[in-house]
Amino acid sequence: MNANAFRRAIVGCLLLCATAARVVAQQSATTEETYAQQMAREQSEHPTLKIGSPAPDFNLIGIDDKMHPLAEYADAPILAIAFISNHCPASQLYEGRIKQIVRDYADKGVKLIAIAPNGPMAVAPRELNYAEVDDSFDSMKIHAAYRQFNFPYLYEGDTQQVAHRYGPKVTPHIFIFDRERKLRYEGRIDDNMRGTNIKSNDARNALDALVAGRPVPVEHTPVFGCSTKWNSAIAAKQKEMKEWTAKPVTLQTVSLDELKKLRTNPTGKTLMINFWATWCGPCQTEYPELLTTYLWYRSRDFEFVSVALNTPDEKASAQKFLDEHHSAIRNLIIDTDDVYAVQAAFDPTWESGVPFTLVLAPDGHEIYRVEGEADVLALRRKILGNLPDAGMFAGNTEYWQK
Amino acid sequence: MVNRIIALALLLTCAPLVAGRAWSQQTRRPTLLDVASRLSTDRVKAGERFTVTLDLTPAPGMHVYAPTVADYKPIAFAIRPQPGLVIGPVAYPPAEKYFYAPLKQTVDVYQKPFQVKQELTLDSSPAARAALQRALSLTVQGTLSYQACDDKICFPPRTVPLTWTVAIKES
Repeated sequence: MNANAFRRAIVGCLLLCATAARVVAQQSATTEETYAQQMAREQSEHPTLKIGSPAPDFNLIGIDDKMHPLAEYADAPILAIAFISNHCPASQLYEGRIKQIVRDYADKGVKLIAIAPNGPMAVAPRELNYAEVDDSFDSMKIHAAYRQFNFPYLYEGDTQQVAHRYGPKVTPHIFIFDRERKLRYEGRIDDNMRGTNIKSNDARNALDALVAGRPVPVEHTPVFGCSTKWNSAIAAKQKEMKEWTAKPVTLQTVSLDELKKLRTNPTGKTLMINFWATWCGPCQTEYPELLTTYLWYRSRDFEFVSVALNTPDEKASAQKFLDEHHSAIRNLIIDTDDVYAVQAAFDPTWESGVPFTLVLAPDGHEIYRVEGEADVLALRRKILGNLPDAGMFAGNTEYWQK
Repeated sequence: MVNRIIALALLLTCAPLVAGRAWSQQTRRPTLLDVASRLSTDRVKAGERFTVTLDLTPAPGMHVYAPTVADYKPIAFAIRPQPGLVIGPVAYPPAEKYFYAPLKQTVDVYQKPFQVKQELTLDSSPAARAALQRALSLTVQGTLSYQACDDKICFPPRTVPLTWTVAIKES
């Protein structure tokens, strides 16, 4: 690719990304920098590998806990490396198509591997608003198992040296190498994130050409998705947490009537209600994960209300617990000593165990309910499968319903 | 006086809450702790000691907290004071150590069947004798409070009312 073509490609990428800025801006590193500015800066700091370049070497740990060097794939006539991530809704939407590529090209000499390039600490909580797990190595194992990945999934989030050499702008971003391990295609997988009305199957076109021994028709395409989360941005990403920890933690008394009203979900949003108590170990175990869930999803139509089943004379200990976990949400405590009356009034079918977590749709119908410690992953998947899609990531609700 | 000699059947009314594994009709409450109780005698005379014994069996997998815990709701057995009754100390068995890994806490609990004993004495003081002069029996009332959990779920503290009636023998 000549310099002009490369420049055009970059501009094309930036334009495409800019259209997504309203949504993806939530994924951006700072509020001071626009998404386009961020992409331009990152392109200069981590330039994308040029067509014709040799595949940069690596030796990365996979979700099988084994090291995987580039040389391991030397026998494959064609090597496709997809940079993907757990958290990115665009990346999630492409998982099924990546798996299909693996199946369709396995007998054609194509080996596909995936690398997660993001620094887990460089992903701000708000950027996890479509995710059931973060981008850590352990989370990769969970996500890959749940989505039944049929390809090696390697982690590169600590040093990002390999990611830096390849220069993925976003996840997903695919790089396809020929037998000599020269880069022959890099860019998007196809031109439609949702997977409907695809007009250009760019990665497949490149693979078909390489399998047939023909020149790749289009060597570069603009990418779209979630910007690569470089560790250099960790400090900026912590801004959100600083803002969060600056919020006050309050605890308000709630009456039976108010609780009954809460049960109908007057918020107009998806509402998670968690009943807990200081005398409940499992409640204390679970609570931080529920708060994290709220931190991740709060930029969407999602609310979280906690209700302490401590008696009024125990308010100080309840407040202490909430302070320790910085529960800067709507925290309530019952106004009576009769915990069982509260439970019966709130939900007669409640068998009185705590923690008790209920997720209600905006119309009040029950999405999720668990008495006892929640399976937080199942809870998050259920919530994600019920939160409305947001423009650019249309199809994500459906993704989580599968 | 003959009437006082007539033995009254010991009426153990360990409250409907404590028997079996039934569910309460008011709310759907699983049985967490089976409670049975007995007195050491069915008749006492002034100055005699007798004992209330609670036979307590946590539901499978559940534990209740021992009196030594601070951050959880400990089990507590209490007899309501009344004239003619001298209430001695409650004896709880040694607790088991329960390690709750998620919070890295070691807590004193009871997970296996255990007994709690309460020593009582029919007061022999002149005032008590006067108070019980015409009484054929003595109704003893108490409460057992506890809170139960397993490693995934807890239940709010419960208080079980307990009542016994013991015949009073002529001194």
